[in-house]
Amino acid sequence: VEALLGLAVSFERYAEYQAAREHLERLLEARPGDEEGRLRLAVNLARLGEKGKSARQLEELAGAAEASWVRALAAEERARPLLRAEKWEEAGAWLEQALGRSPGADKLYLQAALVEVARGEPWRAHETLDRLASRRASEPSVEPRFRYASWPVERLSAPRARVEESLAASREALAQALAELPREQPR
Amino acid sequence: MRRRVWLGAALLVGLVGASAASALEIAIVSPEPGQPVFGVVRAEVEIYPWDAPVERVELFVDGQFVEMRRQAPWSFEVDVGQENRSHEFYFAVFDPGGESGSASLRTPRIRTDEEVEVELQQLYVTVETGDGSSPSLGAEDFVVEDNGERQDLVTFERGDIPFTAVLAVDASVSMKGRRLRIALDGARAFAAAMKPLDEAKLLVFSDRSLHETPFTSFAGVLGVGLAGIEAAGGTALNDFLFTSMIRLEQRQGRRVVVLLSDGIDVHSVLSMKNVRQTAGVSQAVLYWIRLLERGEDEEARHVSFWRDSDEHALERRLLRETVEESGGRVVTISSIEEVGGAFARVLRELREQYVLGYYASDAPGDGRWHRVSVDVRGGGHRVRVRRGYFDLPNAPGQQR
Repeated sequence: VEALLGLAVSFERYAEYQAAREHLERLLEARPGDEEGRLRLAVNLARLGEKGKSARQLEELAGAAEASWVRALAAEERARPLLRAEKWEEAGAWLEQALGRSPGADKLYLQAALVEVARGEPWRAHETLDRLASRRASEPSVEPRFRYASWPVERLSAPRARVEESLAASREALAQALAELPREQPR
Repeated sequence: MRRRVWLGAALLVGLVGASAASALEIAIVSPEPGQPVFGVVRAEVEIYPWDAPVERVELFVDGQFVEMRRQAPWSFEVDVGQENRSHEFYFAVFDPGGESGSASLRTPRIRTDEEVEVELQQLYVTVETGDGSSPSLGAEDFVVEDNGERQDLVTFERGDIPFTAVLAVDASVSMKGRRLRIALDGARAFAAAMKPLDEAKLLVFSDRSLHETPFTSFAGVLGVGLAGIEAAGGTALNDFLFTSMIRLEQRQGRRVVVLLSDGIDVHSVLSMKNVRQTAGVSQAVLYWIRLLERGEDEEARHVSFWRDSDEHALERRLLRETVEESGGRVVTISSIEEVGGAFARVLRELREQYVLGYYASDAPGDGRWHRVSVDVRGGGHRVRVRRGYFDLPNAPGQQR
């Protein structure tokens, strides 16, 4: 599963979204509840034009994912197409709900502030960013978007260590087997 | 006429709170309830009965001890700064027996839309001759059109008109080490060369905010806390250009954003299309000091997690257009060593700008985009000015 995740991330990095999707679907067949896998699949579905399916998955994750970074990023990604399409009311309602669930998500504040500017209330946007600044001072954290775009070291390191251990063990066994082979005379 | 605020009234209006553990009655004379305060403010209480023994009165503003008085008049002067914000004034009164009473008052902030006379449109205009110098012009030399209609100028100024700036410095990992130090030195040199009425804020960002100072006219304040900042992470340029404009939203007068970045946005949640919309509402003039390393192609293609190559190219083009539409410009530098000179050029340009004010002949507050053009009679000049503005309606209750 981790190897499939690593491959999907590599494809995403080079904008190979269809290949990323295929690997993520295989990943989710093996482990349907994998939140990061579900998030990445939803993001890539949107990139491939399957916006409705993507939106539904993002809404589910924004409401129920256990990992706070997945919940926050799903909410942001759900809001992004609404902002791009200038659906300010729908975006505003979604962001209010999302901020209630993920009050630690910096980017949701920015998106909410954008809606306030679009509504002709820039002073409210200022207040929203004040709320963000006061929260930031007390809760420094890794940005979910940055985390998403980083190589998934944490998830890959444990299986990699297992593979290396097993290789090391195999090397010993192989060396022993080789040593036990009858020696041939050089011709 | 002085206005007294009594305890009973205070409880009713909710702006003034008081407690009186002792027999003293405390009335806040200044500031007045409901009035926003700025700069040096007189804070005064009267204590009754007049002949009651009072050992001392202490003043706290926004939770900070300011001063103590041991004899009447119980009047203090305190500088609350120019930032538009609510302030809490808290007076503690002690009698010789050690008993105390207190009174407090919270002043409101001014809503942004009440601060400016919205009908007066102000244009910040940079004029250059063929050789790049700034000519000396009078109001009669300018022709201003708003939605194609010629406008009469009602204000005309040039030169040292105070400004408020956000200096937004990209500190993503590509700026690591010496590069970031040089960039921050450039920003500080900009602040050091400001005039006393100018103000600036330093915003250091990567994919998140790494450091943000308050608005200040003291260059030294911009240097506080920078030593520990290390470049890290990716770039969320759009998000922090947006943040910069919003930070300026409550500032009066000429507003400027100076952005130092290579311009490759990787991690923003906001698109440049969204930021451009905000720039149309904001009156801020945007300058982009674009760091383009020697040999780097200006139109180089980039791919990142969040955008493919075409999207990156579009974002970069929109950033350039947004800057130019605001009346500012892109200052391209090919080495980090040129940063100081670039900041200095922007400051010089701000010093040489003309400020033209007019009442738009057709501005009903309907949110429409107004196209603006400025020409200089005689020709041979390059003119840079914002290309328009949104004629936004006022907030409920505000007079136009």
